[in-house]
Amino acid sequence: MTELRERMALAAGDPGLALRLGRALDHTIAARAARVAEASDWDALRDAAAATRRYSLSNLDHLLERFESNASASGMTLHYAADAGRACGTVIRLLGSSSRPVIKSKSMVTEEIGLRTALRRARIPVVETDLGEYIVQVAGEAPSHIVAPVIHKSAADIASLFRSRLGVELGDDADPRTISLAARDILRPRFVEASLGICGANFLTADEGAVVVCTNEGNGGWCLSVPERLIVVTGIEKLNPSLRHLEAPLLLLGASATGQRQTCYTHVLRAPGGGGPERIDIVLVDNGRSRALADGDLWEALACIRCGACMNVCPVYRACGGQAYGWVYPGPIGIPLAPFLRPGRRWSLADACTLCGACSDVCPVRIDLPNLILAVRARPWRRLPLGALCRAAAGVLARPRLFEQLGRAVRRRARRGAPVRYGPAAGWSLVRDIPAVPGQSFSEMWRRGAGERDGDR
Amino acid sequence: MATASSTRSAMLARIRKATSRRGPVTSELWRPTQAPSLDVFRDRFEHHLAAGGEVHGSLRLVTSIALAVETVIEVLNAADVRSLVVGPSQLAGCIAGGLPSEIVSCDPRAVERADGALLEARLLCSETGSVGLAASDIGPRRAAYAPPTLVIVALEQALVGSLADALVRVGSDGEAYAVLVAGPSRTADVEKTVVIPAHGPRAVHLVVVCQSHSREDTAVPSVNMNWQANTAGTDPGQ
Amino acid sequence: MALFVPCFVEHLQADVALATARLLDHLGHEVVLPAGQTCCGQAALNAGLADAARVAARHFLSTFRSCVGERADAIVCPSGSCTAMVRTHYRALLSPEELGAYETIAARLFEFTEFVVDELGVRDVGARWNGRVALHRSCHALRRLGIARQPLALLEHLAGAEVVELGRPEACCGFGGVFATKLPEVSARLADDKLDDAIAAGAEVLTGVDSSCLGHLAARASRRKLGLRCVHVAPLLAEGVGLL
Repeated sequence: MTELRERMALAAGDPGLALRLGRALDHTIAARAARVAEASDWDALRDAAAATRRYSLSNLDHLLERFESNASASGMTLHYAADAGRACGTVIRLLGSSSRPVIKSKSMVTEEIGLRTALRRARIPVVETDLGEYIVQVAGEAPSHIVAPVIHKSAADIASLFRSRLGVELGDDADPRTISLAARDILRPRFVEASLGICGANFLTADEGAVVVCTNEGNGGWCLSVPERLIVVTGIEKLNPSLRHLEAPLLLLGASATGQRQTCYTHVLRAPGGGGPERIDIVLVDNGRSRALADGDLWEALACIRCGACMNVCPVYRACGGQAYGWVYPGPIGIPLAPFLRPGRRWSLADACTLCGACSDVCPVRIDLPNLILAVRARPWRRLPLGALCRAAAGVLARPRLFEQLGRAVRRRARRGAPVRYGPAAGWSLVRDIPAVPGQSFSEMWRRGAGERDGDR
Repeated sequence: MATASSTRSAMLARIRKATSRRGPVTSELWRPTQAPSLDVFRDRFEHHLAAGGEVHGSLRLVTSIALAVETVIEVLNAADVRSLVVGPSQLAGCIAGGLPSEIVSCDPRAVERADGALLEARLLCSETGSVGLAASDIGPRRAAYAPPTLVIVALEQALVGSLADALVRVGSDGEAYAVLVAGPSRTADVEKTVVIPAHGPRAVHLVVVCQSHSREDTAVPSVNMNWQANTAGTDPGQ
Repeated sequence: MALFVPCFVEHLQADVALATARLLDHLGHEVVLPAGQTCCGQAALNAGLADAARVAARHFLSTFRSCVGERADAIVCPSGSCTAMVRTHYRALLSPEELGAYETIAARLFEFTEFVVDELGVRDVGARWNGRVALHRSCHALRRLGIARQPLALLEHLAGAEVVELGRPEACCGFGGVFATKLPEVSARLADDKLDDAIAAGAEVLTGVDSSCLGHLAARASRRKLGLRCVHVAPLLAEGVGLL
């Protein structure tokens, strides 16, 4: 059994997770549906956002150069990190050796590159300030969703965590409000005293050299205000031509992610000073994105605006939760990104999909996820010698007599009724019975005149 | 060891090679223009204030600066604001001039201890019901996030119609930082239950000075947008 | 009309095709069975074997090429997913020269309920069946072909039947082709959610337009010893007319 299967089997069999996750996902799905219903031009917005993102990816080199030029002219310092290790190294170098407190707002790319772990190893104290990420940090876990990091946890779980790890007096019956306000009180002094900050970027715009960050909690605001020095860590695919181009993506992001009309804060950062950090460093992370961009089938996965709508409607995600995927980007979008951003274990996530298509229905930038997932599944077969073997075996699909014999053999085996114990089909009998199967194929019945009611013709 | 510029060149080279295989991509699709509407703005702004059956802020329309001052005093009293930091803009200063001097704090280091902040917004967006604050109007930036009560004053001329209009305005004002604010801070990370506040303000009160209810032509350029492709004959939807 | 018989129906669920043929005959249409059918190639594509799927697609083309116009004016298939495979995936698999022949076939290829309701304009096939039935809206039929209204119409005109609504009618049943055997525990969990939903809705029968989904659900129901019957809409209606 693969690790993926083991984790997913365990998660799928957890009724508590099913209840918590189901409730949370239903809530988000309903909220999104309300926003879609009230929008007069939802499909047109998706077309616009899809076009903007694909245009951006197709012109990424030009946009990057323009962004670089404008952002540098405004006083921001750019750094280039080819991979996760170098990105972490750059951040550590920029933070310097003092142990001044570092505050951090939510950034999926920092999860991807393992920044928190790297900072811990470098003995640099950093506190996550997004509530979900803070809880994840306290718990020592990985986030289970790219928008709602602790969607899998109940209020009681979190209260218990705060009690045991932070010594905060919270009963198991503590409600979300009490818990959230407790976190506000805990984090406030950390915000006030912070001198270094790390944040992510939802979008970058080339024309203005701007970093756009969308948040709800105000922690992003603190991070972009208080520290003397701010480090923005971002994937290179976040580039877009201009702020105006972000209209459709921004209108779709809130609705798709949380069912809000607008995220509470849309920050646009262009230069140091002006009442905020005196020094801004931007770390542009590749970590496989340029390889993804070069891939004729899978490049459009980079259009993703990280709304999480796909995993909200994914039946596999609903059954297993995000941690079972074993990677920072769970659900449908994780599958075409994994081959590039997660070297070493590239193809296996593609198994975690029924190809139901619910994801592409909700993707704000119209990524054709089911087809991308099929393309990922096709990859291993291209290169191995098995490819040639498959082509030979495929011949049976064009040889009716051979196919009929194969079918007869399968039918006979099924009629024996005994479960399949070995081989790839053993997964069937593990959880299902062998059905009762007619003794004849349809063609046999047809040839014997069974097609008509009275069998005369 | 790779130098910074060689990493950059290598990255750019990889991207260039990757994008060279992309065919031409359709040009951008713009949405039809939307006229600014105070009614739509009010409706959407007030929507952002509500959560859990409570309202966390207010919107008042007044017809003069003097009335704005009165309204702000009311708001500050109701919210029990005893120390207020005031943003550096002209309108904010003007209104602050009419407030009891004991509550107006002049110490920039007092931002974290202040109960409230009074800031001007030079941008209101009717489509999203959000309020745009620019760095030079906020002053020490944490004034927009630290004090629990955020009082924003704006002139009606600040109103634009669509989000694109707002973004273009933000892009062309040359500010180091701007933020579009849609209500008080909030989180829903615990069981998807919306809790106001999270780490920022717990209430946002907006006072808009309207000279009259008829719209004048303002100096704000409305963005020219032509609907292209896909939906021929779409009504621009006012 | 020509019958396009899915491979698993041909070999393991002949009653589904039998019911389809007899119902079409009952509705007054001559049914022919083009010889030499193998498989639409969906399972191969699903497993990542695009080349094998292409072989299947070409063979499908040659099998049905002579059908449309000459021997039949439509091709009917009792499977939403197989119909969807041909109508949505074949274009990318076939070569430009083959597309002409393909488009002719695809234009006249229908899923069974789609054909009866939309093409023949029939909602009441004259069937009678007493009981409570729920409709599972299988994914490919729903999302790629927009099919849900058609089987519902047929059920609503099934005399004596009470149609009950599932709590989550569009939730995936968890079959997913190779998924069923690669992640069997998750597959079973999704099946259980669907079966429990049907039972909670008071259904005695769970039906739909894909007997691959329903076969997986039936096999799981059997393992759990649930009394719920999972059956394709064609045999259900055919029984109701006394044709099976």
